[in-house]
Amino acid sequence: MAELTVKTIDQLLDRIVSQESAKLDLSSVEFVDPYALLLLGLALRYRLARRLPLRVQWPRSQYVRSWMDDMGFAKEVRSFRRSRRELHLLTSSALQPITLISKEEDVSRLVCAFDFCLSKRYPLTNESRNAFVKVMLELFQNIPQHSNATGEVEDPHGLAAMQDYTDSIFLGVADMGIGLRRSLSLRDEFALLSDKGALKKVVFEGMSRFVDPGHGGELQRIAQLVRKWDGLLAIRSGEALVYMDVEQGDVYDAPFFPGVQIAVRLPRHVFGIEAAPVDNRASAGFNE
Amino acid sequence: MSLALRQRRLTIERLPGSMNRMDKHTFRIASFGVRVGTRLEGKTAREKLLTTLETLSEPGCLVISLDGIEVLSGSFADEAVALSYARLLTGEYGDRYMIVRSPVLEITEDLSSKLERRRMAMLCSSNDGWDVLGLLGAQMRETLALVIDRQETTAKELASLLGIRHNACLRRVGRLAELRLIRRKEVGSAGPHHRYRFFSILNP
Repeated sequence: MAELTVKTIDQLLDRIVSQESAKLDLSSVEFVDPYALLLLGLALRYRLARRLPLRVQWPRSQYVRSWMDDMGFAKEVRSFRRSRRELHLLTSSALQPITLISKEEDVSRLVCAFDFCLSKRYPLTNESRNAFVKVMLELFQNIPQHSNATGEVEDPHGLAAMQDYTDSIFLGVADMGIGLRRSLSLRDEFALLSDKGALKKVVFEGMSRFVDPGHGGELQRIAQLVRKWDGLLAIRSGEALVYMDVEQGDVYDAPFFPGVQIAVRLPRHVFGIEAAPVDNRASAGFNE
Repeated sequence: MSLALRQRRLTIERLPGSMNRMDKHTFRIASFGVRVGTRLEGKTAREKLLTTLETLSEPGCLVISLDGIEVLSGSFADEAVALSYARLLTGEYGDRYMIVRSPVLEITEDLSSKLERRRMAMLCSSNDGWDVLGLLGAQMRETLALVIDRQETTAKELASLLGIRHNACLRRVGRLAELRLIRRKEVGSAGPHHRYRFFSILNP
């Protein structure tokens, strides 16, 4: 597999979490997006927690390894390490490394940090900047509010990361919590929903685990916003995936993985970014 | 009867403006940050907002100011404003009211959506005039606009201006008063029925 992206990571996920797998070959990978990076990290942790060893052949591409390292992947997965030579030679274009989200008190500060990173690299319009801040506020706070609503998750937390490309800005947000089906099942009327059913209820009907009508609707609004902006949105939970871009949009089957994982890719013109990045180093990396 | 004559007659019936003098206070959301925020932050804001509301004399109006706000997330808006408004609608704060003040209406989009989900409506004044956030039908908006335009009025006057039956008008203004979009004050009785005057909670 040459690319690990929102479109391809599910093919790999099955192999990572499967008990039969003993080896994972990523050596030919030449591109990784933030969503795939987060999911890969979580999947390897998931396996480690079940004491299932997995020998990973990391990408041969120095650029890919450099980017993964700059994104903080080594902190997530100990077996991943960039060589000393690469550390000296390469500077990637990593925008916002993997960031831990655990407490609601920290969410506003983290959103500010993501916004700061992006606005430091690009001259953004206020309108787009504020709209993106709103998206991040809702996605990030969902993790402390919902990912462990039942209290059954041992170490409830989520991860977020962001990267810029020549045509888009890409935000990944992921957790390994109870997922949407389990969360909605706290309401009697949604107790028997499948993962697909739960995803539809949340994304298309704006439902939440609360009967109170003021709760919910955030992912639905984000989906509408992304569609309006001709962006890409993927929301994965359990065995279901909502994938929508300018050409398509539907709910699909996916290999099981706990929690909720979200990818938001927005065209750069949405942010008013037409010119080259302010930071010239950003254009040097493979991710351009 | 011509509209001009109708309006002149109705003007004679107006009571002194002092009946609608309200204790007003401004509650600045920007004191919690210019980009707000989470439900947790919204809950903190709600507690302070309701405490401030309680300190107002009756009749009183709390102006929730969004001046200086760049981002108002749906979660914060619901927790701080919509839930406070829901408490106000139960009547536990007596003859007190709330309106939103926002320089531009775009900032209030998510608040409006939350109010709509809760089937509530709230007045918002902006640099361009006023609008209703949340859910309110066209006929109710029309009636509300007349009350705001006239500042104080009666159901009889409104029925005449709207060209609808008195009972239908009473239902509309009764509902607007329940939604706290206008103020209703009892001014006596006619037989077994109460007589009311209706006041705008927005200044001209």
